[in-house]
Parts: sequence; C-alpha cells; structure tokens
Amino acid sequence: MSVGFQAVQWNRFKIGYDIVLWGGSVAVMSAFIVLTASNQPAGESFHPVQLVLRALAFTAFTLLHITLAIGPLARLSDRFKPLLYNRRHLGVTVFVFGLLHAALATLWYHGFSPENPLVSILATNPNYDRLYGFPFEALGLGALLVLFVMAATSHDFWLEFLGAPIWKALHMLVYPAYGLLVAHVALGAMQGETSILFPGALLAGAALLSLLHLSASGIEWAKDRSGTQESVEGWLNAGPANAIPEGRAVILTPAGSERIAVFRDGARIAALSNVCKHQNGPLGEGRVVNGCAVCPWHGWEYRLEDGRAPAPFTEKIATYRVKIRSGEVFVDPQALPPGTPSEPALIEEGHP
Amino acid sequence: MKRAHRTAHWLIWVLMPGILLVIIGASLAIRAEPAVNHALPAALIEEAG
Repeated sequence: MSVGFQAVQWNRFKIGYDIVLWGGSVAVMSAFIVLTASNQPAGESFHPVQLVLRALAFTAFTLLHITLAIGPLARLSDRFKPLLYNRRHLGVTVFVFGLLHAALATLWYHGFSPENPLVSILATNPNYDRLYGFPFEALGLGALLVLFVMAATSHDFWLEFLGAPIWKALHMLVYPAYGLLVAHVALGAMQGETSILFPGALLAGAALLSLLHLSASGIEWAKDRSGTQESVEGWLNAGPANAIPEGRAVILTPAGSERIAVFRDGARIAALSNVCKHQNGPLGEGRVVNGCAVCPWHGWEYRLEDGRAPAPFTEKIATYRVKIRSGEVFVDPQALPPGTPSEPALIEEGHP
Repeated sequence: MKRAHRTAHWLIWVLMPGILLVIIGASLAIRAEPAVNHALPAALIEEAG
C-alpha cells in the first residue's frame, strides 16, 4: 500500500483462487475441443491446430464475459462482492489466453512466409474499406494491445503510480476492447459458420453484459440525479441515527459532488468520503471494524474520526462535520481536507 | 466510485448495446451461404479423362 512498493502478497485464498481459475479454464478449453471434434459436420474436419486456436479464443472470450459481469453483479447484489477481490487475476488470465490464441494464429497463418508476421497480419488483406472480407485479425490485435496494457498495469504499483482516477480511466478501455473482440469474432470465425449457435452465443453474451451494465449504471445514475436534498441551514439530513445499522453506513449524494458515507459505530456517527483511495471503491458499502471503515472491494481501512488509514499506512480521505438533532443525523456537505479530524457525533440517551 | 467515472460508465453502456447490435447484425447480413462448387470436380474429372 502506501508505505512503498511491495511484491504481491500471496496467501492461501489467492493460491486457491488461481488453482480454480486455471483448472476451470483448462477444463473449458478441453470441453470445447472434445465437443467440437465430436460434432463436426460430415465431410468437414478441423485441423488440430485450428481446434486449439478456437478453444483458446473461446476460453479467453468466456473469461472476459465473466470478468465484465462481476462489476455490475457486485453493484446489484452484495453476494457477488467477494468476486471483485481477485478480479485482476481473471483479467490477466484473459490476456494470457488471448495472447496464446494470437501467437498460435500468427504462427499458423502468417509464419510460413518471408514477410514479417505482424506486417502480414495488417497488410496482406487490404480490405479495410469494406465489411465483407474485412481484415478481422487487426481488430483482435487492437483488443490484445488494450488487454496487454491492462494486464501490465494491473499491479497495485501502477495503481499508486498513476493514481486511481487515471488507472480506472485506463482500465475502462476494456469496454472498447470488448467491442473490438465482438467485431473480431463476428467478421472472422462467424463468417465461416452456418450454425445458428455462433451468432446466437455472441448475441446472448452481448445482451447479457449490456443488460447487467445498463441496470447497474442506470441505478447509480438515477441516484446521482435525484441527490440528497439539503435541509437545515444547508446541512444534509441522513435520517434517524438509529436507522443506521450498527457497523454500517448510509450513503448521501449531494448535488454535484462526491457521495458521503455516514457510518455508525456503537454510539458514534461519523461521515467520510464514499470514495476509497485505492480503486475509488464505495466505502459506504463496507462495514466498521475496530473503529475503522473498511472498503468492501479490497479491505482498505480509514479511521472514522479523521479519515486516515491506521499505521503504517498513510492514505487519507475527506471527512465531514456531523451533528445529531432530535435523533436525526445532519451532515455538512462541505468536505474537510483529507485526514482532517472531525469529532463523531454521539447518539444521545433516549435516542438509541 | 467517483461521479465522473459513474457517468462515463453509464454513457458507455447506453451506447454499447446499439454498437454491438450493429456490428453483429451487419456481420450476419454479409455472411454468405457457403458456396458448393459442383462444377469444379466435374471439370477436373472431365479434364483428367
């Protein structure tokens, strides 16, 4: 974290996760090879290299769908939040399978000519001006470059070096990359297939991801639009103190600014920025542990009284002034500078 | 998440379904039925005598 660059700390959970991930990926790839080989139309037969090529692509594309579904699923239901923790492992695995597919395709289709294989991929087919016969390999190459940048910068070192906003913007390139891959499949492998299975699966995957992302981002967008209304003297009403579950938070959305998480820890009520310093995760969806708000995404912690991470870490987030009047919690929407102490309000006797 | 990130995400996914539908639809439209060249084997057979 902030005490300098450290190698990724492996633990049993991460090792187990990777064993399941890679075991599952190899199983999916093997199943694809067996099923495709045993269901080939009469009179046609795939070369084993072509089978492996397609199996690698299918596995990478399936993993990409899973990776892209985790974000909105976690927004729609808390039960999917644990999947966010090692999502970067999934992303790197997508890149590895994509790279193997690209390397094998380059060797198989472009490796036997005196031309540089990269030049061959990009220049052998010049039909960039028409859809029919479009050089779909270039689309896959573009997506692979994006996946490479994302895999290479997936470590926390790059997150800290670039800062969360730039890092997140960079990693949002995965969506254009997904579009490129859909075009790569649609203009490539799908063109030679007569089965409805290919376009059906492609459409179903695109529809599922679109539905999930539209639902999740639509809910968030509506929250941002409606906002939390200011009430007394410009302070925001967070509702009754006893309505905030113990160890949890309610989230306020001031018009035009970042969200505020109002936590309850016993009798203490404190307000912090809802944006975690690590990956800008929704801090208010986490819980309070040992007097610290814990981000639900990767477990980063901030003290309720000053928004500072406990030693030896040095991250700090904005705090807000809080008061309780007649059992109702009010929050000053003006953020205090990150790490500024702000005395938590205490739930009065008679207002448990 | 920051507000700007949420807005960008929402914008991307408002546009994305239409883009994906156009890509897949256009690809399906240009997909030709696999041609079966009945003439070639006959011509070869004839040529070969």
